[in-house]
Amino acid sequence: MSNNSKQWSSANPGYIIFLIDQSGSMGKDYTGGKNKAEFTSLVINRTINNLIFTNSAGDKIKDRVFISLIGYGGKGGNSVDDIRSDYLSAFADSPLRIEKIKKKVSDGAGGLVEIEEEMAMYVEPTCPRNGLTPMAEALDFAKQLIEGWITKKPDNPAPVIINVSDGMPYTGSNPIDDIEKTISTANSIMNINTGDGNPLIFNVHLGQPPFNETKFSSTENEVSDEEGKILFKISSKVPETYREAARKHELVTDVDSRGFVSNAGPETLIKFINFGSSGGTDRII
Amino acid sequence: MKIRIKGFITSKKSELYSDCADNYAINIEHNKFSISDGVSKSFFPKIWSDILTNKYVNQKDWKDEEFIIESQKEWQSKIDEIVNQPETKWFTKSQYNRKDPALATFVGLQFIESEQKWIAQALGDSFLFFIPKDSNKIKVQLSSKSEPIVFDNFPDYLSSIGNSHKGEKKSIRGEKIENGTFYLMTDALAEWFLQNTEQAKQALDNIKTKEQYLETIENERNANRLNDDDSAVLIIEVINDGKIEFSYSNIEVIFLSELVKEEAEKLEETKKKKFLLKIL
Repeated sequence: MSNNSKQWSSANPGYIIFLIDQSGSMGKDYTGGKNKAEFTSLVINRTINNLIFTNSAGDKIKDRVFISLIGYGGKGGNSVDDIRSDYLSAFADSPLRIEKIKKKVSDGAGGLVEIEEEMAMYVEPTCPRNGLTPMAEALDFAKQLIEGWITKKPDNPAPVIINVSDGMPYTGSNPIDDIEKTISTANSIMNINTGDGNPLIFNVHLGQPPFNETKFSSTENEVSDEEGKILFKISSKVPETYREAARKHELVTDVDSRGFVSNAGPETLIKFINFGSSGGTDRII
Repeated sequence: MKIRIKGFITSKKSELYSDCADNYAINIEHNKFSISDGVSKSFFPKIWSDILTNKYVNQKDWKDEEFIIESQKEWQSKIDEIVNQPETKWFTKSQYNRKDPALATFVGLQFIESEQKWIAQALGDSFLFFIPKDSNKIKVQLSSKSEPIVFDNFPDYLSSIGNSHKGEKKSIRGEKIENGTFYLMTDALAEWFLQNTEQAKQALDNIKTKEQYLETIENERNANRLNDDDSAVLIIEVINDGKIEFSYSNIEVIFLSELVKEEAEKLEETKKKKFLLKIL
């Protein structure tokens, strides 16, 4: 088996690593009065909650998913921070805090009712002004996590990295070196072999209004900007199992599409993260 | 007609019986049998599959709509009780407030003594198969899956709330009862059964005990012939003894509730032993 198609189960959990750019530029306005860091945290918190709901069977979380939240640049400079690595049940049992939000849901008879929902938070937005974008270092840390995971769990689904960033890799040194190091580290991850194929890297680059998006390109030529070309190079080809998830989220892919979006607006960011984490919601037993 | 019944069930590898969302039920007074697979990503699916299977067999005749509504009422009442416990977790309350439903597949089979016929209905990827005596070929196959059959994570289902069911129920009415065996099974076993019917039939026919069933499941999983999923099967053998009346013998059905009870007792025992070792 080598096509990222293994089922995610309590016996063989999947592994999702969120790489979160927390550099100073993530403080730029994004949507609905929220900056990029705030909106990214919101989407990731919601995604984890969705994974919890999907895997709860009511009152007991089944640990079909292990999650790492890795921030880069969030503690200033070239910091890489293991915000939290845990099984899904541990996230559910001890969130940072629980917020109450009002929401409209179906009443089951064709209407809508307003309910108060408790929403757990696991990652707080942060984007210190002196935070750089050590993407290669974050990927290198993710690589170590993946290697450790695979050594202990060789029969499990291939891990997935979802990298959310608004810019180019930059550590304050030579930008060309940063880019080359990022590409080489990403390639070394995408060349790791598991019984379920290679680990996947999906990248979403947060844009600025009017969000001139480039989605799931098949060739580098389809990508116009330099940042997009780098992300294209460090993104995995979308396996067939994930193409199904893309379709579900109204994202169009073809057989050679790479898992990345450039200049993403808020709606696409939500869909992309749901697509990237779909192993824990769609392929579970 | 002489009828023999065997029923076996087990959970996914690394999970407990109490996690198992498959269920089946029989009622020999009503000559009814049912099986259901709770969709694991829905809300309290194991309670829903338990209610559906038992409600179906414990009343002789149901109108479809009435069966669903009564099952939904019971599910809602049980969930209300659970969610109102003080120790209920935030995610359970959230899903309850969102009115998340439980989802489950369903297969029901009934023998009609007066007509010497059988009727059945199915929704989802749980299956009914009938194989005549002295044959290894499936004569009747019932599920709501369309051809070509592909097993995936998106089966048709009955919902525990409202009318948000998925798929069209498939029914068989008025088939004459003949010598042979009915197999009602959930998806993982059905996929395995369809892939190599002759060997799978032989393996199931030879199983006499829970231990033999567990051994077969483990071997087939290890050989990658059977997916690691909750696995339940009811095997109903019909032997024409020349009499119109149905008589049941050799009922060897292991119910999930018994397994869960045994498991809880064992876990409690282990806990006690650990506690004693700690304080001694």
